[in-house]
Formats: sequence, structure tokens, C-alpha cells
Amino acid sequence: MSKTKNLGEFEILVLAALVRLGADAYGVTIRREIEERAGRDVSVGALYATLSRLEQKGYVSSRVGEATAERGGRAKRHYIINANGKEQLDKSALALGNMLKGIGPWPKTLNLQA
Amino acid sequence: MAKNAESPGINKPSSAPPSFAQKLILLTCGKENSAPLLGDLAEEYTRLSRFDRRKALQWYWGQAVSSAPHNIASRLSQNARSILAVIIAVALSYAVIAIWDIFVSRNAAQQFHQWTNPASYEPARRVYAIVQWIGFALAGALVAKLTFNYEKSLRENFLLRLAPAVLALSTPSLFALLGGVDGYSVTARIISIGLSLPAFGLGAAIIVWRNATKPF
Repeated sequence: MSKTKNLGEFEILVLAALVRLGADAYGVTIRREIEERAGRDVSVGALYATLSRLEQKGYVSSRVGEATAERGGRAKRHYIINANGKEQLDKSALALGNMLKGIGPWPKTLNLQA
Repeated sequence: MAKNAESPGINKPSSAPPSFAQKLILLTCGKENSAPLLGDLAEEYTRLSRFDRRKALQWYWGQAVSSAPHNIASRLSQNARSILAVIIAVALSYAVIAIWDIFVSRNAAQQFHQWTNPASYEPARRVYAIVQWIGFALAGALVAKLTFNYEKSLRENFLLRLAPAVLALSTPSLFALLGGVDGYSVTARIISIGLSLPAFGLGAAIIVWRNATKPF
């Protein structure tokens, strides 16, 4: 596994949000998903910097979506995780699960290898 | 806030996001990357301002400020290669000009002075001036060759790649112009900068024109 291809914690959260959101993933929904599930209030700048990095690594792709009035006429940018991204997310989750296995009392809901 | 409470869409200036915060994002993010980010913020701001406009304003400003370092870092990393290339190109150009100045034409550094002081005219100094213009033209060509990105707009290329190099190369002359370091007249210095920059631009333009096979 290449060192530069390893995922950081926030990258894992973003990729997981993309998997959950599917075709509806764009800045607002990704932020909301991370805030609701991970309890992290993320700045849009941090999110887009991470998405841009993941795109450069070849884990996600993006397309320009529709513009709406409430967005001030600006188009959405939709993101989708690709096969490489899913594979890397899987590896990271497995590594995390292996490291956490057997330590601490974790909530029963934590099933990283599922 | 009350007058906008029942409006479902963007509702005129009173519900528009703070313009200075938008400018901060534009400044840190760059125009080409800021559209989805500003759109997301506008969407969330519209939603929040239906409940509490003051809170929405605070939220928007918080986002603009906390996003700034990420935007700048992301922009720098995207342009890291270009920035490094500009630094290398400027260093090389400087080296060429300095070598000429120190080893070849050490005593002819007043080449521009003579333009405003005909009495001090020496043919070698004109030669020096011509060589310096050629040096600047080569510097422009080198910077353009190493840094120009043909997939980006001409404006962005100028702002991010060529202008910093021009500014760096002009620094000694600008300092001299402001402080009169070497005692040359201001007019002589203006002529110096005024003639060197077009030479730089000409060198860059030739390279860009030769390589502009891809559309901007």
C-alpha cells in the first residue's frame, strides 16, 4: 500500500458519507451527513479541500449539477466515490477495526468490519 | 428577518449573504473553484436566515473565516508545481542577469543613467542595456516555458505565474526607484523598468504563442 494513498480520518468520514448519500452527494448534504453522524461541524473550506484531495488521489469523481435560485444561481458539484475509493475505504476500515479489536469497551453498534 | 420569513426562495438583498464574506471566500478560494462552495453557503444561509438572520450571518462569517486557511492551502497545493517553477525560473533568470552584471559588465551598471544624461554616454553601456533586455526576454521565455498552464485561462496564468515572476525580477529596480539606492535618477529607473518588462512579456508571449496548440 502506497504511503501517499493512505486515508486520513476526515477522508474516511467523507468517503463514508459519499457511500451513504450516493447520487445525492454534494457539499451541503455531505456536511450535514458528517455533522449528524459523526458530530463534526465542518467548514465548507475543509470539506472542499478534502474532496479535491480525494479527487486528485483518484478516489472520487465529480460533475457539475444544476443551479438553483436559493444557491444564488450557482451550480452544485456532485461527488461520487469510485471503485478505487471504495477499496481504499474498505482497507482503512479493516485496519481501524483490527487496531481497535479487543481494546476498550466500545458501543455494540460499532461493527467496523461489517 | 420577518419580511423574509415566508419567502421560499432567494429574496432580494436583505436575504443575500454578506458580500464581504463572499469576497473573502473568492479571494482565498479563487474564482474558478469558488462557485460550488459559495452556492453551498448560499443554500445553507437561505435556510438559516428564515429562522434567525443574525445567526445566519454569524454562521456565514464563521464559515468564511474558518474556510480561509483550507482554501489557501488547497489552492497552494494545486499550484505547488507552478509556484516552484516560478521560483526556479526567477532564480535562474536572476543568476543570468547577475552573472552578466558582476563578471561581464561590472562597471557599466549605469546603462540607463546615460539615457537621461547624454554626457555620460559610453557605447558599452548601451550594449549592456541591450543584453539586459535580452536577459529579461529569456527570463520571460523561461518562466512561461516552465510555468504556463494551457488548460487555465490567460488571466489566471498571468496572475498566478507570470506576474509574480515579473514582480520578483523588478524588485531591485522598484527598490531603487523608491529609495534611490544607487543615486540614479527616478526617470532612469522608470525607463529601466519600463523597457525590461516588455522584454519579459515579449519572451513569454513568444513561448506561449509557439505552444498554444491547446485551447485556453
